[in-house]
Amino acid sequence: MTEEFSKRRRRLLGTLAGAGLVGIAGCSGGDDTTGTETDGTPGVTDTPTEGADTSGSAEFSEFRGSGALAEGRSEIGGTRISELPALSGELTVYLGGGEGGLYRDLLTKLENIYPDFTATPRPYGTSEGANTIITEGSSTPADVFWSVDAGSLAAVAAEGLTSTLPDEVTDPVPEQFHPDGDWVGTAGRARAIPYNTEALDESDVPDDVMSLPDSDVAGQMGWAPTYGAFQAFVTAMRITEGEEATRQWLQSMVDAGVTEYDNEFFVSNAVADGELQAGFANHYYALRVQEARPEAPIDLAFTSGDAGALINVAGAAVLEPSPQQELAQNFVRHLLSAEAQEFFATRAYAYPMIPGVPPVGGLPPIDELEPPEFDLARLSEIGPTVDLMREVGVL
Amino acid sequence: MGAVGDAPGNLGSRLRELLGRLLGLDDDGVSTPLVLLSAAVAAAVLSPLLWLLLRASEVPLDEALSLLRGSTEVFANSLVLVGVVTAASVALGVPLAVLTVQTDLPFRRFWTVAVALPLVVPSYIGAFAYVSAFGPDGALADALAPLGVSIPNVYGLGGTALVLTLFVYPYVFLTTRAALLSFDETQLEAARTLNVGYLAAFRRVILPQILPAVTAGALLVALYALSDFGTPSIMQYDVFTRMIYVELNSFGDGRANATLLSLQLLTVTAVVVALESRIGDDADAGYGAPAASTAMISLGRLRWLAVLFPAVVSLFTLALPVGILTMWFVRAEALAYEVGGRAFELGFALNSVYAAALAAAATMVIALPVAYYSGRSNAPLARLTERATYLGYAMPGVVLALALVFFSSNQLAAFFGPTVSRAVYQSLPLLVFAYVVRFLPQAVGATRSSVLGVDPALIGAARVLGAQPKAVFRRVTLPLIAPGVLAGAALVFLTTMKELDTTLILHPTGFTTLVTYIWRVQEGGYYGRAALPALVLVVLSGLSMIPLLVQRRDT
Amino acid sequence: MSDNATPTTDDRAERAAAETANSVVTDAHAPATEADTPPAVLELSNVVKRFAGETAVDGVDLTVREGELLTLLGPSGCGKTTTLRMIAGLETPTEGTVSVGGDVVAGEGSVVPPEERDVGMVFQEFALFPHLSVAENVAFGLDDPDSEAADRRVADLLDLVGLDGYGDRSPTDLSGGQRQRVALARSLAPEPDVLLLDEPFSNLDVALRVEMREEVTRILNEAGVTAVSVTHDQEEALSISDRVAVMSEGRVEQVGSPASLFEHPKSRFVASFLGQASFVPGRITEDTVDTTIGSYGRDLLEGVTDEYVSAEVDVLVRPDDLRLAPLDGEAGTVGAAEARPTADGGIAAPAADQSATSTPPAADGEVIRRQYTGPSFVYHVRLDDGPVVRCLHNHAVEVDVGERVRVRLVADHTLAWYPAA
Repeated sequence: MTEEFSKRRRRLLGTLAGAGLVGIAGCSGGDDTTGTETDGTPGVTDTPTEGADTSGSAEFSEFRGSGALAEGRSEIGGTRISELPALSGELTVYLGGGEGGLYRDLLTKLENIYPDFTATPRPYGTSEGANTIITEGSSTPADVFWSVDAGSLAAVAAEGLTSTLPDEVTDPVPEQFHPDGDWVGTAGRARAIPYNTEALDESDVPDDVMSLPDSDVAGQMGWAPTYGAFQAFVTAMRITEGEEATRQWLQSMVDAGVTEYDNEFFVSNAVADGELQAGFANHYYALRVQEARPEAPIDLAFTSGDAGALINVAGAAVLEPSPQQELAQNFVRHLLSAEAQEFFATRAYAYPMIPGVPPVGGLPPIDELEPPEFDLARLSEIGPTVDLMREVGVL
Repeated sequence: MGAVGDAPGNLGSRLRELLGRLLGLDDDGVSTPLVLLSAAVAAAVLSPLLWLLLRASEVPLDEALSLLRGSTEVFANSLVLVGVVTAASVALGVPLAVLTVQTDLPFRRFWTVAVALPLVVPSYIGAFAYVSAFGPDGALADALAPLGVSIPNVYGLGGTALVLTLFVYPYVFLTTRAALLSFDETQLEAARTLNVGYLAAFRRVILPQILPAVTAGALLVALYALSDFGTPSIMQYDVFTRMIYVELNSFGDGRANATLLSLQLLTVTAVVVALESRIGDDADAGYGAPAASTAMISLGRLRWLAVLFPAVVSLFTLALPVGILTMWFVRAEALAYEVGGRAFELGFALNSVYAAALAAAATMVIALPVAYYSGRSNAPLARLTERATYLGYAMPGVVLALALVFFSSNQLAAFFGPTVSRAVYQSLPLLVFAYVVRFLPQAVGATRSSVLGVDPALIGAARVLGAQPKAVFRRVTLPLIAPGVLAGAALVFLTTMKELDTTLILHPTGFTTLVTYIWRVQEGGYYGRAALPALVLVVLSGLSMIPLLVQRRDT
Repeated sequence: MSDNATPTTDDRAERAAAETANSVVTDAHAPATEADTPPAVLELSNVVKRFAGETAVDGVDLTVREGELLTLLGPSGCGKTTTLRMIAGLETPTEGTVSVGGDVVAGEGSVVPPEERDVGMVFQEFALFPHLSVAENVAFGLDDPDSEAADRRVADLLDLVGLDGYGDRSPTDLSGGQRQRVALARSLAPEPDVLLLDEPFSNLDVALRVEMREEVTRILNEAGVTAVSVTHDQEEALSISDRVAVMSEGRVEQVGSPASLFEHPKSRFVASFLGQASFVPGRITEDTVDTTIGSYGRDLLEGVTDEYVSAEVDVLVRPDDLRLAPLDGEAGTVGAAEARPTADGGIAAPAADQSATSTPPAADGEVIRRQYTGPSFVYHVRLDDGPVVRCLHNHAVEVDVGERVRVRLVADHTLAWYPAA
């Protein structure tokens, strides 16, 4: 059964590639690689016709993505926006990362629903945003810090700059994604190994990240060591496997001739181009490459139970100095609404944080992945990781 | 007894004399308010250094030492990069200036603009374009592959140096051009009637005299290469700034470490600036030097061959990046994403122009006292204030911006309360101040050379005609130096237009400019979305080149 | 150039030149006779230069002989500097040829660059290299500027130009005259076939100008160099040159020794450009010329033959050819006192005779301006018959503006004339 799962997971993207522009049937019918099935009539049900329908579902479709991956969604549960208190007022939101503008899109959509509500985003890198808030201290102009890296949220929380979120905000989210109520996860992403399907077979990618350096693939891999998500991955490895093992792992990868990139989109892109055979990246970058180039020979492999399978989350924290605690908390609740979660799932290809919303097209459900036992707040302990990486010469 | 009584007075007058010599108070046109004003400007520009020192001092000594030891390799990388880029920029900029100023190159005006224009292309956009074109499986690499042409690896030192050179050599071109325009060409004729051919005359007569200008341009190039983060990081060459960046983006001691590394970078800068000041001591180089009559060097039939030089340079600096941007743009249109928050708005361009214009105006005004002081006096303090302005230029934008974040939020709140800090922090004036600190030397350089070009006899004449010193400045000096001041402002304008780091960190929330937009969509991997604003940026900045290139020769 | 219309102008000029060569005492350096004429060092043949449709030089022919100093004289824009620059190789002729030392350096399809012409040049603003010392400037054109031979040559030249001991100075520390000496030494150092001087004295103040004229002539003579200079200053041209070529509108109007040019200008232009010229209208008869200042023997005019009888002419009179006397009865006395010894003899004699016997060869007019030139006055007199003439007087005579005067001719040489305008 496990093997069956793993196989299905690994073939997910190949399926997508085969399907091309024809709508595929999401998690229910992705096994067939022929791509001939045309169940449903995508043109009618899935193309949003904005503003044409004021019913709940039409509104909902505004949040859903329009790509091939967003089609054939099953029933969506969770709290609807219409069930939440209305947003009214002005918020300054520091974005850490922000999925290339997607988070802004969501803010805009919320503003469209509530004419009295304005959310002004200010973009940063994840650690940059956290560092900025820490530097600003109690005079920070930000009300909410919404970052794609749990470590950056934890770093801000560690400075006592976050206020505790009430239960009504955090309850819908599994406990591991809102430690102490300092912040709450809004979307998850898994570490993965994108590989080139023309160069490699799925079985060429080891199931265990620690054994990667010894495989034949290692010399043909790429990574982005300055990228926050990668540093988080190494941090997790350092904490779960120990410093020495991590040092050796890094050293072996360097010795094998791993290539350096600036970020993980480049890594995934290079894999799709055949420049690399495989790489280290968050799962959604491969999906994004696929969205732009459906023919690209790229697929994802997941390791199990180790740092390589780490699930990091994007999350939001309400900042303690903000004079608008209530509004900010309500805003965070909106991020956890069914609409917002569907938005993250179908547009950013992220893992939704509420059980009612399933991940997109064939991604293994979050509970089927095998992440390491790990307290995400410890991702903020990046200092020793950087030291280690520098020691080895990766940075 | 009398001697004892005299001593204090003597001492006092001697002190006053010494002070006068240090400040150059006896020099023509130098007054105490001017000295104070210049010193205040220098102090303001240097103030972010305080933060660096403060934070750097938090690093324990042994850690600091190990950090510095660990940085030697990337440090060497940085120095190599600076050396290569500076040398290559001189190798491109000087011959191009000579060709466009002194020869009968066909379409000289056109080429003058074309070879100066790369300055408006942000080097990080150039780098993206080059990676996109020549990277593995890049557009051009693919196109050339069937022809049997394989392109060497664009990553690493070679590619980084190439891209940096292509987009910063115009600094050398512009300063050299200005010097050549003000060069008395009868000297060249004199050399030739003394049986010395052009090449030898260039070496023996022209070069020694334009050397300060070439050096001034090379200094700007060197400092740019030293403080640039984007290009080396895109082209995957490990340099010092990247190490700083890594430290900045980590938690805990990271920022302190970064400041320590920045201080190291600034030390190198200080050395470079000091070296330059030895060569370019009485540099009357700049951007607004007066034009002189022309004697052409006839290239004969070679002129058509010579055209190849600027043509090939323009191909790589303009045609290629614009081509790649256009390709991205067309592709993006074809994909026709549904993008709400990513849509490009004209307002972004207006914001860019607005901020850059404010920065140019402010820099112009602030540069004036420093430039005037250092142009009129050779006193130690005059030299010092002028040189001090270069440190801001060499501070990586990120470091400077973070220093200002610390001051304007944290410190202001601590001393004056949150109301004050909220008014200042993330405000447009603070952003403009950051731009001023970053780009002041460009304006000071251009203005100072104009001040040096003003015949003191004219000032004397105005005084004799009964004008007060202030009136003389307003009615005589200012109109005469106006072209140089404007050229400096134009340079500040276009560098501000493309400045990334400072803008990202300090812009008022919601104030989207072209570069912050480009950065945002590019970071998300949506290159296509970056194409249009990048083209708009290049065109708008290109317009600001006009004051740098007109007012020449024909006068 | 109205005289060009007269068919015999050329004959007249030739005769005048021959006469000048034989009788007029010329400068010591001038070629005395055709026989011992030194070889030509520089030759320009039908040289034309056009700039973007504008003709700057319009067919210049010139020959400069070894050891002589020829000056191109003309108003600004006449093409003299362009001509000089074409000789130097700094401009390329549109048409025609330039030869230096017998070699064609421009024209016939080839152009020799300036550095290969053996032509030296002193620039108007001297063009000294500010980054080099005086000695380094002088040594600049030598083959091996660092050699001992070069050092000796530099020392000799600095000695020649009177700047012994100035070698280590910077040109920026020198006075105008000193700079010119350096420029001269520098251009002489490579021993050029021809030395060109572009407005060499225009940057000097007046007192220095006179001194430097003598200095430069001395230095050029000592160096024995063939030289071409350019100036718009007629006094300078006349005082330093062996020969002068007067240029106008891109052409050479006349070439000759300073004296021949001054006394026998071929055209109104040359006449007006050299010294102060007035023109007095007259009519030629069988044996006299009747002018507004009296009737004179026809041989007063240069080269008049019978075919000119009844021609209307303008006679050139210079300030020193005329005298005036107040019309208050003392005229005779003043006139007698004024008359120079030579005025009684030579060519002027017939006129004097006439004045004694018949109608006095004089005209009345009114002083309209008095010009003080230092050693003398020049009076501008409007004759009752129309033309304004100028008379030169020393301080012995003082007449006020507005006074009525009588003007008479005291010329001791033949006068030039032109067909009436």
